[in-house]
Order: sequence, then structure tokens, then C-alpha cells
Amino acid sequence: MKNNIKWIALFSVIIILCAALLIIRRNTPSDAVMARIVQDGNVIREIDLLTVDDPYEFSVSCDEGCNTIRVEKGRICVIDADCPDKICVNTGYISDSELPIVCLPHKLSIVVSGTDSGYDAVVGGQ
Amino acid sequence: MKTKKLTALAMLTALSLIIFIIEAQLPPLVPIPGIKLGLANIVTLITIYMYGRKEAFCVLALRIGLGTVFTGHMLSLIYSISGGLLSYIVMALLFKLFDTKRLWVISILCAIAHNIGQITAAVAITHVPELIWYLPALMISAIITGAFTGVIAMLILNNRNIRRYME
Repeated sequence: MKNNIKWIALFSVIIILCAALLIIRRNTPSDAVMARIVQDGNVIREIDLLTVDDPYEFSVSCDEGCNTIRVEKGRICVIDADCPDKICVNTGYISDSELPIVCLPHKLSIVVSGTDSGYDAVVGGQ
Repeated sequence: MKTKKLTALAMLTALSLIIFIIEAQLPPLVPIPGIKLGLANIVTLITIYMYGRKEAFCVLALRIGLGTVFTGHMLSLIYSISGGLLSYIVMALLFKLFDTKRLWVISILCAIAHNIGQITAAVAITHVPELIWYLPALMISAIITGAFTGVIAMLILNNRNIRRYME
């Protein structure tokens, strides 16, 4: 019984830490405005979300299927996809770097990041 | 291998495959990739406790292989293998240290290992390191779903009627 409580305590601590991490990240203001659309490891399109005045849509297709992406001022989302799980569509709009949109079946992800330096540093290191 | 054991393992494989396929048909509960109950792991846990490491590996490998044939694409095979293998390694290393009364702990550890394996595969496939930010949410879900499947496996293994039937 004692042992059980130890394990429950350990897992509770992990849950609290992870929840705290998520909340902190959600509440951290970010100046991210550059949306990167990455397919199969390649950046296929970069959009400065602040310069978008009229919303527009475009499609990204791959061997497995197609995702329709909608861009508005300051935010971006996948509005339609023919992947089996539709997780990318259900993620909804993103406007900051909190969590990327990802469509695993189509190897597609959309990441919003700061102006540019952060990402260049990563690329430069590879 | 005795015929009876072979039959039992074949049945366990079929069972985990059915659970896996049915679970794959359910719509995702939350818009976060990789979160699911992992009910098929119940069968792997039961197999490792009743028969041992080798047998559990066979059941798991067959389930992943056949599961891919029945449900999906090559890509989901990579996610299944990376998650399944890591969770199997954790299970195989630790299951002797925990008796069936503490099976839920093993189950949670497996679920965590499974999710770490999957997020690693996702980062490797998409080349988007930011995906790592899904890890905290996946850890929370692993602890909840792992406890759930672990308790079910525990109830089955500690049920004398079911055990007698399987042995």
C-alpha cells in the first residue's frame, strides 16, 4: 500500500509539472508572426501573418492527400483535409508558437515562430 | 511449444488486433496527435505476465504488423513500431520488479515510453523540432490512459475464473 502511494505521488508530480509547463507556455506573450509550412521536412512556404490584409486560402497536396490552409491577419489554420484523423483541422487557428498544427498522415506541419532569427539558428546548426 | 500455449497466444494476438482495429475507428478525443487509450496494450501486459517476454514480443509484433495491414498506411507503421518497441523494452526490463498488484505502474511507464517514442518518430519524420511541445500534454494523457489500461489488465489477471480458463 505504501508503495502505491509513492507511485501515485510521483505520477501526480509529473502531471502537475506538465500542466504547469503548458499553462506557463500558454501565458507567455510571444511576438511570433512568421508562419512556416513544412512538408516532409522542407519549408514550402513562409507567410508573415501581420501583413495579411485579406484572408485567403490555398491547398497543399502530397502523395497521400491534400490540406486546405486558410490565412487571416495574425492567424492561420487548416480548414479542410482528407487525412483520416482530421487532427490538423480540429486544432483550429493558431496565432503563436504555443503548439504547431500537425497532420502526421500527410507529414505536414505549420509552425508560427518569431521574426526569423530563431529558426535560422536551428537550420544553421544542422 | 505446446499446442495449448500456441492456441492461447494466437487467441491473444487476435484479441489485441480486434481491440486495435476498433480503437483506430474511434474519432480522436482531443485535437492532439497521438492521444488514445491504447487498449491493445492490455493484451500485451497480460501476455507478458502470463507467458513471458518472448511471447509478449510475438503478440505485439504480430499485432503491429497485421494492424497496419488492416488499418492504415506505411507511415502509421513507423509510429506504431517506434512507440510499441520503446514501450515493450520498458515492459520487458521492469515487469519482474512489479507484481500483478502494481501492474498499473508498469502500464503507465509503458504509456509514457510509447508517447516519447512516437513524438521522437514524429520529429524525425516531419523535421519540425517544435513538435516536442506536445510532450507535456502527451505525458499527462499517458499517465491517465496508462493507469486505465493497467487497472483493466490487473482486474483480468487477478480474476481467478479468467486465469483458470486461460491456463
